[in-house]
Amino acid sequence: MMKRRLPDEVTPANFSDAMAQAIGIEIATIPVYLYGYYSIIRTPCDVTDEIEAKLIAQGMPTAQAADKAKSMNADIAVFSNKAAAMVVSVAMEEMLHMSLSANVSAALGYPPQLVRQPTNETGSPWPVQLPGHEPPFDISLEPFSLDMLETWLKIESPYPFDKTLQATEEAAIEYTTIGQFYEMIEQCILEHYASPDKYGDAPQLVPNRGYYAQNNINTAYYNRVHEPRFVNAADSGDLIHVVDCKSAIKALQIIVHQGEGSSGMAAGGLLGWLQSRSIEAGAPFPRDFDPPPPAPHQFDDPARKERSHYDKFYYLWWHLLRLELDFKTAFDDPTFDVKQWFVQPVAKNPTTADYPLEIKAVSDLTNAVYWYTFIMAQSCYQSEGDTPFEVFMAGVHKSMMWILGSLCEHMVGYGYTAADGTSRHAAPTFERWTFRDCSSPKCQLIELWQTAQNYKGGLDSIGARILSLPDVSKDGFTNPNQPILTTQCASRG
Amino acid sequence: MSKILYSPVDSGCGGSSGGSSTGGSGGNGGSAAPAPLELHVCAGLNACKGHDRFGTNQCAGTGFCATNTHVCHTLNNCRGQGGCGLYGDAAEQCRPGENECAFQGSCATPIEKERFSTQGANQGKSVWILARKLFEERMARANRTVGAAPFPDGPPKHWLVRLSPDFDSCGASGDKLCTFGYNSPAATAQKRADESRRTLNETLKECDCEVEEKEKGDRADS
Repeated sequence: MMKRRLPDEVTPANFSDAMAQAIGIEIATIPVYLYGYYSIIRTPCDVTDEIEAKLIAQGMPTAQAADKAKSMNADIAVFSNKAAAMVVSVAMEEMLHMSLSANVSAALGYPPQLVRQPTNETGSPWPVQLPGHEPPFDISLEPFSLDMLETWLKIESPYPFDKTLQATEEAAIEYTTIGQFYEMIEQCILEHYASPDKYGDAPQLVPNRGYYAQNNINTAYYNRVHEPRFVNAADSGDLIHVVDCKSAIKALQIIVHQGEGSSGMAAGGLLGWLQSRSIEAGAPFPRDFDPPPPAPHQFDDPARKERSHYDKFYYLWWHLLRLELDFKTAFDDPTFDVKQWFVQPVAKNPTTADYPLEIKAVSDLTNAVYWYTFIMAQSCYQSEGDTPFEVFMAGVHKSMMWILGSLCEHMVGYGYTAADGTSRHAAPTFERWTFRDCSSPKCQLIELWQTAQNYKGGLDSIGARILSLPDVSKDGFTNPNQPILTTQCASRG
Repeated sequence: MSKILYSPVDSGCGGSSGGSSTGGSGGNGGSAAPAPLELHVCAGLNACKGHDRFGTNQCAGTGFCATNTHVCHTLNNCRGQGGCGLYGDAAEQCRPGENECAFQGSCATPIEKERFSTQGANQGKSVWILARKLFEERMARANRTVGAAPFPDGPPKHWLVRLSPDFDSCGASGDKLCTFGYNSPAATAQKRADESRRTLNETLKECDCEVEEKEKGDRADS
């Protein structure tokens, strides 16, 4: 099957496609990282007693076993929370990247399209591939693990990897790293969009409105003495109001720096540092270990306090590897998997159809909310005055955190028996959702919530929040004469 | 060395633990609250006599509990009801209890002693202490006398849970009052309060800059 190839460059002729592809890349990563995030148990149960029992069974004296068990339990507690904080910090920045690309697109006269159809028309879109990435590789929704992190390292890699080109029909602009792709866009902007008259005043998500904050309580974790630490840095990047060439380039460079680091990356800097300290595999893990200053270029902010996405994943990969090895060694059991104590037993690429009826109803609601978030976000780029602010704060923000977030947390708490007899927990499936034309998306969300509440229950507060969402027209962004906000559900809200 | 155990259920390292209440002074946790005369975000932040949740306080600033409760960022109904600290940008988190309007509040109310800001000049420091200072300044501008707050560093979580067993100030990173076996939760919370008080003037100056910068940026984009 012949591949329809485009030139590996971005020109004014394909610039709008390039921006659509850029937005698509960022959107593709969000559910991937969120799935991994929700698979982590941030505050796992205390397993000190279990650990102590296993150590004593190995012949360790009781007092020594007690101390070591406390320490190993603390290792799990700190790592799981830190891992989750790092993963969600990346997911938040991908949402920022989506907005930055959308701002650039809007400024240059190409209305951003945030509401996408998945590549499959029916069923689950997972696994997906990053549009245009060479070589293509599958990206799945999967629970937190070394395998998962290795895929994520590929996504964020500043270095091209094995070029095994595969024939596809995808007409995307090819690139080997996301940084390279954005570099092509930047080059096009510098060459063809330098003049101020190229930039219009279409609505954007602008800074200083409270739309974005680098940290929140979910990017915080606690160290060993339970002091809070924050993953992201205040100077690492924010929304940019794109008004000229300089601001457009700045917006795109935030994306690259946060993803890959400030100037390409020295891979394995952390590992090299530890090896230089003669900390060998299998040696006791230093208890007061704090990440050492990584090799140059692994930070993404001027004050060198925030790791890039690639380095965050590399850090997690390396520490998870060590944690797994430490527990196997301590228990003298090469099959022991410490993740059983802090990762939910969720499936890889689950679908709503896999779940029993009562969970299906919640899964449908979750998918509908996820898609509605993009409809609301899209409307922010197509409305004027204070409407974007109101829709974003009362809609997008609330939806992502207090509705979708709550639903995802509910879902990973639901146990079920999979078709193969395995005991599993449910998880958000991030499948395609199509709203019907007969009523507004909000009305349909209310119906879905009522169904989920009837089947499963325990979703009262979520219902109240859905009722308070703005009622954004499904048509509002395709028909410029149609108002963005409807009142279809006003009587219920 | 004795083993210090923590339990996600009992001592609450989990995110939504009910916690255990070990008693506290003051307050009338058992009787029904009268209709609130003022919607304020926490103990010690009430503007008038009789304006706390129980209607019993003698003076501005001495009220025992918030008359407004909401669980998190953007879920407040009105001006001045944002609790602040856990969500929101730097400028928002510099103004606990002073948000301009509905769904502009930064975080849950009431504000427990253990809550810290996550962004901005007050990052890692006590939200209540900042909120109290701003409250005192508001009262001073209004030529009002303010009494001592019932809890000098804000109401501790165990006291709030006694009043409202499902109290939870939101967020998935776990209980702010906890231990993995290597610290005393109460001592950690007190250390944070002391540090917050020690650096409060500096925080206020930096907060003024954050807010000014945001307002300037917002004007430029308007």
